[in-house]
Amino acid sequence: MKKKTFLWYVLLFMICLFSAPLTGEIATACRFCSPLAAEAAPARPLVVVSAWEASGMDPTVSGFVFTRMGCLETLFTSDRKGGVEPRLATDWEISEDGCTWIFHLREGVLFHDGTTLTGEAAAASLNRTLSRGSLFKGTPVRDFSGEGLKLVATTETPFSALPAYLLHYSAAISAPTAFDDKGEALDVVGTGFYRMVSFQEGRILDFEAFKEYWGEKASIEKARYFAVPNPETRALLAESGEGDIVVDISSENAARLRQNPDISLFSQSLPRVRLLALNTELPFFSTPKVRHALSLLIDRKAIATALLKNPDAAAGQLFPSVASWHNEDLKPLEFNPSRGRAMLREEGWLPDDKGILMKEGKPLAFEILTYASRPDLPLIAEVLQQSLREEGILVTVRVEKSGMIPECQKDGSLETAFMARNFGFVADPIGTVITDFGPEKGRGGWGAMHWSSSSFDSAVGRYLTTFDPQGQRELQKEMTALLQKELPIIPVAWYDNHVAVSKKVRGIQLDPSEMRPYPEGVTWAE
Amino acid sequence: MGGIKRFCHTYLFRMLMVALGVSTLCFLAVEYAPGDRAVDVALARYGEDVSPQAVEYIRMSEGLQNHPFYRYRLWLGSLVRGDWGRSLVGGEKVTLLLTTAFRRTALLALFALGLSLVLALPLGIYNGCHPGSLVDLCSAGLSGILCSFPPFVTGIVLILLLSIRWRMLPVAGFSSPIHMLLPGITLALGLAAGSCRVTAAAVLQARQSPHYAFARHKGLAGRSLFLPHGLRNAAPPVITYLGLQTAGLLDGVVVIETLFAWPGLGNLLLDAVRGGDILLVQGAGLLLGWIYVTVNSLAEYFADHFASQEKRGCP
Repeated sequence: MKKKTFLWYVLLFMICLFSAPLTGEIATACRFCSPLAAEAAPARPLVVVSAWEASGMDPTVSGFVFTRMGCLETLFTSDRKGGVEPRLATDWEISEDGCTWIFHLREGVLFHDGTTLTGEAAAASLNRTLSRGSLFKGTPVRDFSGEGLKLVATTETPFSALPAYLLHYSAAISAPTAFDDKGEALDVVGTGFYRMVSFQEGRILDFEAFKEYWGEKASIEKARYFAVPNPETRALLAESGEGDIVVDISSENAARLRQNPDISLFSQSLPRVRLLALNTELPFFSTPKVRHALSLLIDRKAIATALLKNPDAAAGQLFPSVASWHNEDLKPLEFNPSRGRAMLREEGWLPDDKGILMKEGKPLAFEILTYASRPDLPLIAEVLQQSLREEGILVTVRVEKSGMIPECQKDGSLETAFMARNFGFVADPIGTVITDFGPEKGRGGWGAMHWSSSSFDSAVGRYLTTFDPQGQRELQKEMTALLQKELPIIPVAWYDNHVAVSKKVRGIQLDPSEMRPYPEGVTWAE
Repeated sequence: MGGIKRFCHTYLFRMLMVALGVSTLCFLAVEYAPGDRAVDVALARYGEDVSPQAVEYIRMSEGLQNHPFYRYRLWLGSLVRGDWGRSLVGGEKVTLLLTTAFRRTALLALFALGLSLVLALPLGIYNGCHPGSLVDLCSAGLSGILCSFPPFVTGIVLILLLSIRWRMLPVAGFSSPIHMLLPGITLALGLAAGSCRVTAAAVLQARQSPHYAFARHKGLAGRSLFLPHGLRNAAPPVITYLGLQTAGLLDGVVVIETLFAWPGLGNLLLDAVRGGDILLVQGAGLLLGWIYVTVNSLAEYFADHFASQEKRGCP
């Protein structure tokens, strides 16, 4: 190759690489030519970006994608205030013994394959969830049957939380054609205002408006669900305008996106809490007094402000205000290190010459096990480690995968675990309360360790057989007060959900329990 | 022909050894990792809100209560029959998941490799021919910077410039060919930096060799000197390096796949390991092992081929 030719070649390449973006005209031309420009036309889909991909089309596994996109529907939905609102079912009746429920289904509802919603179809879908899903495992639900527009659910024992369980995504109603003879999912066939038209590796799912939808039809013809696990990329998608509704924005990115004039940032509390679960069999966690002392040494406000960018995320009790179980009568957990130190002294924990708290020759030392799939947890755990070290408590932090928490709890090696618990798993937090604090035989390895209370178990039992909302509210208060008094787990911070919404769309209404579809009521802005 | 036959025998033997070795190691690594596989699968399948009953359901329905070696034997038996099993998390066929992810990864890798060669080969050859020139010094500096930059930093800088500022390219996705540009350029820049330096060094070494000097003294010059005596001798190390780069691209671009939401093999393997999806890990390990063997064997074959041709051509 001649030297001159080679130099021309290099020059041409350098011009292409570096000068195109610098000249406004070429950049504009590229913008018009690119597929992004085509997407800017009115026919482009509404793009919802989320962190979670669909592992196949099985609603018991990936139903959250389909319910949040308005493709599958449940019998009831969230009223956005922690309560229940009719969807495919209009109302219900309960037998006198509390073990038989009759749900009346909405008339004239069509599945996306054109067949009609009946009690038989709904029962078949729910029985599949009963056998294959995790939702009803451990509950007294026996089976579902249907006839005409009636769906009958029977339970072994009275189970007042059943309607709340029916809001869960895995209880979404699919048409019988969605499954083969063995029950394997073939397609997603629901009743929602969007029907699925393509499924690309669980990451990109395309939907189009369902013309025969029974309720308010989608005003945007097409929608796309795009799963992007990396939080930085999600924020960049919001910034570039490629994502219209971008959920699960991290606190750091939320602070940056708030400054962007093309984006509206919505921040809302979730019924999810970061908490420290204590092994109450260990001598130093065995008394509520030491647990309270430890709680007094935690500066929740500072953690929430510095790390989570929201001082209101400091958990004054287990349930955030957005959860139906939030107890406004409780005195919030506070930061009072001098009181905490005094309480530890009263329990016999005295500092040695190095400032380490000792009792009977043994230091106050423990390990916090946490996991990195929620990246804020190890960070907060290290802050706890440092702040407790300053008080003379030796803490080590071990980061493992989340599955190690139930495993270590089972083999008795878990001292404390710092984790996130979702009390909005079903519409009524009782679902999580039972497995975390209820009778020990039904515990799931995530909640209180070796703590039990007969009065709490009795309240849980009464709650499940109480069908009157007022009576349930009283029991909720009783249970939350007991948890605050005994403190088998120490709440640290509540979760916020940050959602970046492009100003190209309007009408979004967020649901704290994330059970309603994101595109519901959304239209293009003028 | 004898060379090709020997190559095929060696290749098949390596494939078999890798199948046994890698699958056994993958199985042992996942099976004996800390924790309970049924819990891992339940968490990956149902999320954090999994009940102990659901964990037991998964243990029984997926056969995880059986002895690990019994399960491994079953898997090997199925593999011989061409059945790679189903994912424990999503229930899809492992072969389907692997072929889809491999197609995406291979597409991105080939694009990045092609782009890197377009950038690196001419520049490397020029630098090898003109050591110490301004171009050589500048490209050595630039390739040093690009080599030392982690790919995700390069990727984020490119996104900020090309997607956020100038809105020329999409940030992430895989639904159209244009989505391949940003991850492809990010990878190509890093690859080109390395291969440019290797090419330059190989060309320089070839040009400084005694047989190159001999050819020049014979009176050869220009292309008739450089192509058979310079470039051909420089080819083996470059081909070997490209082979390693290709193999690395096919499994080592997890960071780029994550940043650009590209559903490739690296991400699939990572998710499978996190979710304790043993069958998928074994399948992915097997496929990646075979890719390594194939690419390295081919690189080895071509490097040998060039070397032997050169040997035949020189007195």
